[in-house]
Amino acid sequence: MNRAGQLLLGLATLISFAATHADTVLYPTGPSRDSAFIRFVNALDTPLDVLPEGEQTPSTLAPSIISVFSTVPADNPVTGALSSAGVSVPVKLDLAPGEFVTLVVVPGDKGFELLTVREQPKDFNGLQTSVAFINADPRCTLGGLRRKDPHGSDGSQRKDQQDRVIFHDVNPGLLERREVNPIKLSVQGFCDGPLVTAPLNLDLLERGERYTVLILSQNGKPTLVFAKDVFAQ
Amino acid sequence: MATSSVLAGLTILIIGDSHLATPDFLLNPLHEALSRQGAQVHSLGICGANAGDWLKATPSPCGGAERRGTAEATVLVGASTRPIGDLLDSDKPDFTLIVMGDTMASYDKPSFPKAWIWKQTDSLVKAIAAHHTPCVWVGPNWGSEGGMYGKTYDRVKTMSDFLAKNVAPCSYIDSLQFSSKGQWATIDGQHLTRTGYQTWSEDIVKALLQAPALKAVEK
Repeated sequence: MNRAGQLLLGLATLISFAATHADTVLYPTGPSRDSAFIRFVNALDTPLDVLPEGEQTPSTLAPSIISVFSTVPADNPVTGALSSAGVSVPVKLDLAPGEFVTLVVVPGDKGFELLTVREQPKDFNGLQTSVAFINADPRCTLGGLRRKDPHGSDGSQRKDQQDRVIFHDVNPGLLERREVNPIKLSVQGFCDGPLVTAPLNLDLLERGERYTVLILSQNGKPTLVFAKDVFAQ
Repeated sequence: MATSSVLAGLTILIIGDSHLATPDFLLNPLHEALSRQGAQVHSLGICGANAGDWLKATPSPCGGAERRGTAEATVLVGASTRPIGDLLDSDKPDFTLIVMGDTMASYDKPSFPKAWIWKQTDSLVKAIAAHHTPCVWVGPNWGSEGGMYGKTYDRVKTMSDFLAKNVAPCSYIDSLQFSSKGQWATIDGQHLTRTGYQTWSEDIVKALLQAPALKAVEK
């Protein structure tokens, strides 16, 4: 068969195949409504009731606990209330598509106040381990996180401290995230000045997982809490 | 039957989207190519399915097809996905092959919903990993630009690159490596001609034989 013949045969086959499947129903590619994600942190010393409106289930968070992320449609505000020790505060929050919001409940003049920490992830990488640092202590300016000195020195040598820094200059209400190697890690938080938190052992970080370390105030002292970023099913 | 193949005697579960949801798209060529290697294959294609739809039974907007072993493929009436945990429990496959990507790429929208896609893919690969089943993920091919789904080469590259970084511990097969842009003719921008599906199937099997996940099964 010459080239023209081959082309005609190919065209006929294509037309026949396409005609056979002309009734393929169009389906959406991608989400019909993009998602956003929200979680809560109880930085109070009393239990916190999370009372969402709509389909989400109410829950109670013990002190220093980070909740799982809930998936919510990004085109509707999240509404509900937060309640602790007889004080209740209404919540209405707009989330951008793809945004991860951590709502931290911290002590305040009227019982408590809310610190809204927003993250729009630049990338996802299942080949690495991702760690976020959130400064949720309103009095901790220029907060940060560094690897604990494995030799247990007082960390007074400036160069040594700088070498171990993972996050720095993170002010209250802000989040920084970076990828780290999946290793055993023990960390200490710090603020502007000499004060450091007690060490926190993150144990073995797993490849492909995302984690968050928060610095918050407990009994007036900066303290670290830690959780794997987990999603409600 | 080429019983000397490393696939000989293995049980393979294949799940996927519209490319597998019609018998003479990818379903039959891939099913038969793997069967010829001596594998026992169960293929299930659900049109329009996203990765997260395989966590629980989710009805399809556009049909599906299934084929088990040497039986003929059947077109499913009232097609829906089946929970991946149930499929793994009943099939007990040596490994799972996932063919998915186009349904999540948002070709017709300006922004790439990476957080949503990450959640979709992450939840599926974690569910498979929880069953300690090795897996291989086959990403989308170039197709052709435009058509009824508005596919673009830029977006399919973004989608494929995203999957390559986010389907571990599954191995990733990058279908973009199999052809040049537009080389494989399509009937609608996204779905290939019979010849294209035959070629894609052959390339998938060749790549599969080199996949790290398969090496793990051999051990």
